[in-house]
Amino acid sequence: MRSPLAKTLLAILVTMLTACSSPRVPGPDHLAPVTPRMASLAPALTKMLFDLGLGGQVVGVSRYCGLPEGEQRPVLGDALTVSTEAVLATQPDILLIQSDPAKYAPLQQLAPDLSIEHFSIETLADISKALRRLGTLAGQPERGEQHAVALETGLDALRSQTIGLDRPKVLFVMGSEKPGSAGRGSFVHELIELAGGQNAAGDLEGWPTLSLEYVLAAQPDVLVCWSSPQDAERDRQRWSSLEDLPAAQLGRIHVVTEPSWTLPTPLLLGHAQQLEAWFHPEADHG
Amino acid sequence: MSVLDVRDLHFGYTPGRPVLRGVDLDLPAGSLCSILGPNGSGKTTLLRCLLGQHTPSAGSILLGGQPMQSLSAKQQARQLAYVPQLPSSAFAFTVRELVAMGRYAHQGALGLASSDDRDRVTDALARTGTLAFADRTLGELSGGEAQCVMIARALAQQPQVMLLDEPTSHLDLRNQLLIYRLVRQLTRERGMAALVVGHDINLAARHSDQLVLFREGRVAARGCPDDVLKAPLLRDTYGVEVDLWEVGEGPPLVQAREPLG
Amino acid sequence: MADRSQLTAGRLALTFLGLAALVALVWAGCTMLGRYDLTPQVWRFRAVRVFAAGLIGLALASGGLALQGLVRNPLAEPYILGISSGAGVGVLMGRAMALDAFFPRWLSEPALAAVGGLATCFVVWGIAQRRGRLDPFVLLLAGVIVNVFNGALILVLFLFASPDDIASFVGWGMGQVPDWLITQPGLAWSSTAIVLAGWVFLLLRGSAFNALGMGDTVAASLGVPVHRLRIETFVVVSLMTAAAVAIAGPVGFVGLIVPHACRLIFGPDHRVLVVVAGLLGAIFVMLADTACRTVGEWVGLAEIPVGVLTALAGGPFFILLLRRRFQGMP
Repeated sequence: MRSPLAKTLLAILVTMLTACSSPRVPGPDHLAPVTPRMASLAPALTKMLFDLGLGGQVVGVSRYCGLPEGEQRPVLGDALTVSTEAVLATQPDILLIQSDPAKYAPLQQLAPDLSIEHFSIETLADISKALRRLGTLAGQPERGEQHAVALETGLDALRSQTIGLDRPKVLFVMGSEKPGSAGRGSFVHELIELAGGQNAAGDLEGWPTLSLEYVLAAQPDVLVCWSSPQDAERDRQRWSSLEDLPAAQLGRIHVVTEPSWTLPTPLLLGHAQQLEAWFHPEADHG
Repeated sequence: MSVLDVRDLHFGYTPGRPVLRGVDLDLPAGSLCSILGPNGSGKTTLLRCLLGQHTPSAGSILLGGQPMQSLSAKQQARQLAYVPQLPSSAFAFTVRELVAMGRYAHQGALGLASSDDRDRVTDALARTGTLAFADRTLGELSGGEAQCVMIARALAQQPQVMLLDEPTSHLDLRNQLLIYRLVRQLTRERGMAALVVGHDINLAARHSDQLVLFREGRVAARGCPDDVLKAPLLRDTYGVEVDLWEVGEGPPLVQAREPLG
Repeated sequence: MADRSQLTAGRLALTFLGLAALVALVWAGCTMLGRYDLTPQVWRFRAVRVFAAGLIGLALASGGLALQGLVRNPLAEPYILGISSGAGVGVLMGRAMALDAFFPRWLSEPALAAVGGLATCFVVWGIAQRRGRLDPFVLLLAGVIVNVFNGALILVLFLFASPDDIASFVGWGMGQVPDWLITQPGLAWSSTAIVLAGWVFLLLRGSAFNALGMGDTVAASLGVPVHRLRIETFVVVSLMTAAAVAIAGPVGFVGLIVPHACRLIFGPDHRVLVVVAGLLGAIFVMLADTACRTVGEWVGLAEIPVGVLTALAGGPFFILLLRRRFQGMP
């Protein structure tokens, strides 16, 4: 049986496979002659590099790394696979990763001179450390230091700003369908506490999934929902429909869509300030 | 009057390769007709056409005087019943339940049995001698008993015609006789006509009112056993020399002559 | 053994009412169970969720029963038709290629699931049919093959999807009764209508399924429109399953476990089994989902997706089925 239908399906499949974006081999024009060439497979690290002004040293990124407007870099891999060829073709000196280093052992064998740097960024303190480390690796330690200090200062300022204020119960959720949340040990938890709130999911660890009943029982005063842009309106309506929630009753449901909310980068400072404004609208923000 | 009337039936699975090339059959009520013939002669195909599984390319089949295509499936089922070669049931129904399914064509949407249905089922079981194991499943019965159950089920349909597809091929000597005698008695008692497709010439000859010799998709000979069991006819049909032995009153006994020519 | 052929309208109605009452009881009971305080709002959410679970159980169990009768095979189940994997392809394709922009937001995922599922059904039918007729064995085989192919398609689609999409798709693929059906009345009502209408359809075909057990030729000779029945049942079960998948994603093994358990208790008569399997299927999934909802918290998870529970139960059950000579299937 070779029905026309099966043939069509096969043709579609072949077309899709050949249309897969293959990593582009870069020309020599991206290259800065002296400073270390860095390839980053972690969106957070890529963002930090560009924010530090070190974009010129970035020679390759992953598919999910957001790049500033107008910038382009060769794509070295995606969530599931990294193309060894593509990585080697960009001739990096340093490879920055956040995932399990064991995955890259074969790559290390092929390129013994390549320095594979693993970052683990869970807390706000880790972000400052990462900034400093990136600066050092890139050969511009003073830049790293500068940004790290700026971040730390901003966070400290926020902390002292909120001492003594009432701490509303806050719940941070991701989406509305079996929503994920941020528990103890995550940087979002730290943001909430820093901004003068009390994380209603603080008794849980890491990034737990919440049941709807948990949310209803938690009775948060403020609910912050991080959604994808297509789902934002739907999620807002859903959370607002929960009349039992103080947050819904008082209209203190906030929906955010920027990816930076869940990436451990210095941009979190701005988000923390946003949270503070939401938590304490009555405080003077002159 | 005939309950089943086949006229000039033509059929082929693929165009250009006809299997049935103009079959004529006439089945009077209350008679038993056996169709004999070599493998591949088209007997099974004829049976399938009679069951409505294939649409003939030419010719007609009249059931109770009406063209078969004009009858709905249920209407056909009320006239024509089928007994398969090998009784089987994929589910563990009891004998009584299986026979009760014969009433399908007489029932409404939910298929719930009326008291009339139940009476006919009991009657069919009794008549075929299967009442004793009405509560057993098919798997627990012997070949002969299971075949009787199938006949009981067909009987429950109250058909005018019963089609039997090689009903005794897998049965022992005693059961072969049992089945043929049962069918023969049913034709006499109930005015039902029976059409049996078989291989055993002698068994068929002894119990049939009409014999049909089938060859290459056509009726080669038709009539009462004495007229049909003639050496030249049998030789042309089967391609084998036969000896005919007179035994008492009935039709002669047929035996193939060895060595094969 | 009791004379089962004495099935009267009265007994059938009694069975139906008794089980329906049990379903209502279980539904009410499940809405009371949970770790958190029962406020009216919590109750409303639970009520709709447990109802959805029941609906899914009804659809999958009665659909599975019908398929087993149709293909005369105890291993038949809605998922052999490839509906779940096809639905998965639909949902994932929609996300990866932003096809969900073509549907209003509330409709997109269920619609994609339904479209994907039904499209796969047609492909399976196209492969399995010859001259408009469905051969049971080839149908099973075609379903298995198409399932494998869909699995491959899903892997290809993963290449185009973001890690978030992949994670949420994998979550969906485990099969879980949603919390928010109460905010999707269109989906809720249409699914309910489809499942109930399909169930009535199957009920009316109970005696025909019985007769099918004796083989196509015998069944046809009894007056059963065998080929038309097969196609109609195939389409109806597909729709019922697609409705269930649209709500909860693919929940497996319900269509396998429940019909077999019912056969053991109630015998092989499909006229009874369609009612019984449907209602017991509803109870089964309601209980399973409630267990998932409550027990999960005690083991440190928010919830266990109900599809995980049914799969964990279904796997060993499947093996048990294969090993013993199942009563009723020679």
